[in-house]
Amino acid sequence: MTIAMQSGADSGEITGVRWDHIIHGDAIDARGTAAIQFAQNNGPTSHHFKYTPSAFQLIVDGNSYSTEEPELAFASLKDSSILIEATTLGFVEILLCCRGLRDIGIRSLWILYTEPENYYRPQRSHLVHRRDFELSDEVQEFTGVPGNTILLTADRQVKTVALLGYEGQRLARFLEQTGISPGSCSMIFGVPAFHPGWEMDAFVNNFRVIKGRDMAGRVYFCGAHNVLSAYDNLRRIYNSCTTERLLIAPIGTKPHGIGAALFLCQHSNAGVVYDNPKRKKDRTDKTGAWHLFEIEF
Amino acid sequence: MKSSLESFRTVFSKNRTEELGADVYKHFVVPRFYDQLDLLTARKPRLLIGGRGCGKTMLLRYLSYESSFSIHRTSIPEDAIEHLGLYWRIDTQFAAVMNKRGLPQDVWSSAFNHFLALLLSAEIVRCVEKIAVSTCPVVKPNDLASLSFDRLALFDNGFGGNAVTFSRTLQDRLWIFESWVANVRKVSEPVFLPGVLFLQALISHLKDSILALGAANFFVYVDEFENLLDYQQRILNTCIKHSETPLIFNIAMKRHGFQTKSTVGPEAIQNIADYREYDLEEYLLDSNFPVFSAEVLSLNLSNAGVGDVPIDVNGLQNPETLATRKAKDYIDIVSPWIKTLFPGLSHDGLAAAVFSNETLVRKLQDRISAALKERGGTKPITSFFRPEFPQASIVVAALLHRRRLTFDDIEKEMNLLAAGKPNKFTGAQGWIHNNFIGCLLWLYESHSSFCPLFSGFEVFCLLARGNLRHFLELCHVSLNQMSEAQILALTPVPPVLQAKAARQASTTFINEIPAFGRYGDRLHTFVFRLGSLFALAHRRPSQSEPEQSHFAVTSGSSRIKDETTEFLNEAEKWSVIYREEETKVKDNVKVISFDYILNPIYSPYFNITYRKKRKVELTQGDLETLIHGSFNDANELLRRFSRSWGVDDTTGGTLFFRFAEETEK
Repeated sequence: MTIAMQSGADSGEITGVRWDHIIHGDAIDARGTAAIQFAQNNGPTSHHFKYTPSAFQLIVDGNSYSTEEPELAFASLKDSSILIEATTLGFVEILLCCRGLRDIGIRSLWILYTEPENYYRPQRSHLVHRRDFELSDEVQEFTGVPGNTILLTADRQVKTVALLGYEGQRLARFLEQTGISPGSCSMIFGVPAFHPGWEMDAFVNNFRVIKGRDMAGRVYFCGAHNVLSAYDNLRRIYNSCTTERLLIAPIGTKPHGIGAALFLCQHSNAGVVYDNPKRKKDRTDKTGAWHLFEIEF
Repeated sequence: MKSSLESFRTVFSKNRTEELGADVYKHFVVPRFYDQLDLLTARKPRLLIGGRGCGKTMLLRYLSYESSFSIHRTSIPEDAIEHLGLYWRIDTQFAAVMNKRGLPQDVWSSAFNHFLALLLSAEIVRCVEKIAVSTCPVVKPNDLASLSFDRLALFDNGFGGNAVTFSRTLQDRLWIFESWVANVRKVSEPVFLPGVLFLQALISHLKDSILALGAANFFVYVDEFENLLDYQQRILNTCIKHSETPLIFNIAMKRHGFQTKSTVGPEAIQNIADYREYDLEEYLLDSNFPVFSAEVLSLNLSNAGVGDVPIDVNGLQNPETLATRKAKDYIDIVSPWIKTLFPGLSHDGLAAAVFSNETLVRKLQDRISAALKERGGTKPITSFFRPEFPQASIVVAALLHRRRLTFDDIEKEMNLLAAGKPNKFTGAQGWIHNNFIGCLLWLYESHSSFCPLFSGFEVFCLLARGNLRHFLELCHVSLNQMSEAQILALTPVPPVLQAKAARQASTTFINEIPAFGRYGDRLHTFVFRLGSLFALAHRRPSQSEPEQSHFAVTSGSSRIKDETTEFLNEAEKWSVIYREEETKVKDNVKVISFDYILNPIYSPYFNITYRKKRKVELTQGDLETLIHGSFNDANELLRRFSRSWGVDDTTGGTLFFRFAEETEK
């Protein structure tokens, strides 16, 4: 797989590409709206994609499909050039899109992501911890994702990697709910962050959990917007597995989630768990840098 | 080789049973109520209920064959095979995927039965292997080596061969099953084993083949039952309903863990008829928790090679030593030792601590002056501030705010106290008894010093309220305040350092709340709002209702919403609050209401009492604001209470309690 990246301070700097089809989700903030607008200006046909975790169901343009067979949802997109608008899609949605498109024979696709200029900091956060961000309304239990489900038992060795973002409580929940040994869990931080100083939010918010749970796995750093680096790190960790299985918890930045999704759709024997947070409306403010990733399977 | 200090840190950092491995024998202290549970002799399923940290998982792992036939046990009696425990914590992220996805429910039910059969069969074989290599003389390695599993080919052609081959085939089947679950549309469906029927056949075959196993009974202990899907609970409920020797199913869960009590048949399971329920927290609190917690601490210290503990920890894993451990002479050794290690302060000591701190003394004097000024008093402060009577001087700051008491009356009582005559401070009126702790906490409110009320072994037990993890963390953080040499020598920890540790541990546990399930963030917010409300109540100048640390819903325009009840159940499930029934008679009608108590482990964080003394009465609307309300609504509620309590609210900022900077250290 090759991953090429281009970035710009605004959409005007993303140039030279048009697509036949756009796949996008629901915009919940200004950058999502801007990203969909940009995508639709550069592609005549757009498709709305939504994953319902409680039913393991995906809905494309109002039609329901099983999570097992995302390729059925994309059958009509064969031999097209396709953009996945990832700003408005969740991690599982991106994974299912990539898997489905790859399975219908798509060999190259584009993924768009727009950074936020700032994250919403609620008043409540000051009460608990100044660095807390409240990015999710409600979370579900961590569950496996069909296609990359692995069984965790006491007698099976697992290497775990958590890609970490600002929400330390998600790491705590991941450890609590899966019963994963904190000592064997590696961590990937997004450094450099989208903005200087934001990495401190990720460190501090996760540090309480890392220290409290005595996490002793390796720590990796890759740029918060760097899909390729996230993918490469996961590949390296995967290659270092001998008898162990790899389990990924992509609870970090969206580009890291994209890197994990690309890795997982190529490695079905690697597992993933995700908590499908319901994102808070208007959780970010304004649009930051724009990134376009070109993927060759 | 690790130093004792390193071992100390390692032993205490592994504060979750999952981190200890399958064999917990040498880490286990048989609970003092163990003989009341008849776990080894019962032939009916048991339901173990308890909050996080009460020792459920530890107990289940102790009951499992891994610990019963532990390599750490030098002798294991032959009758140990009458109780062979199989511990099963279902991988819920995997089990959750076994649902919907376009397959009919009956397929998933069969799949779950198959899953159960594969995992527990493998455990049964492993159990017999473990017995064979243990010091228990019943099964010999040769018995196992000559065992053939060919008969089980009736269920699956691949089954057969010896124990090694059979185990490997079970593992293979599990791999196949896992692949199918991951890709139910693309991988062909395996032939499902018939769950319990297969397990019964396997057990029967083992008993027929190894005669020494004739008396064997297998007890499945399903942990974290509350995390299973509805249909999975129904299948296990069915297993419970039809449990009989030699295969009995038991479950453990947090409070409100049943999503359903239905079985796959027409009948639901019922307490007593189908299972017996044991509330571990209740048993812990009713069976001398302080001595038990001291024993657990002793074992941890001993395992870490730190200090000299006063008891023989080798007997703590053995139920037969319970009688000795309950004897008075044993308790008389344990209790003084631990109270010396974590000394607390008497009320005299607490008052003396205030008077040894210049800032607190000044604050107290200021408060007395302010009270006099507010009510137009002209008496000198020395009439009320009398360092020779520190407790009375602390309490008087609140009494002076009570309009029904005149300054003359209070001064008169102070003089009677000074003269050694009967007075309202120490007499039946109980001014000191009723108000001292409330006034003390008020004095330490927003003060940089740690209130030494939160020190002492007995206080740690009250803060932990049956939660061993909380207790051990309080001890661990306290000892960590000391130098290396002091830790290794188990030098008593000064109260002020214990109080500091209590604040730190409390902060840690507050920060854990967001990880408590799907409502984690909301529970965190709720605890914060509730704690802030109680902290406000503690700031009432008159201290007319001191030490309010629980609430009850006493009025409201309509019944509590279902979503509120569900939220409170979730809060109780995660032990952030406790519910106690209160029966009142109103208008000749018996009314059952509930008191909701904030978990006392959070009290050092909010600097509020850990004792259940007085309640804040809330309307149903108030409660819903605390749970579901916006930031502004909750803030307004605090402001309203603040006004009605006469709490100084001149800062204009939020009334929420905060220690944000502290958590960053």
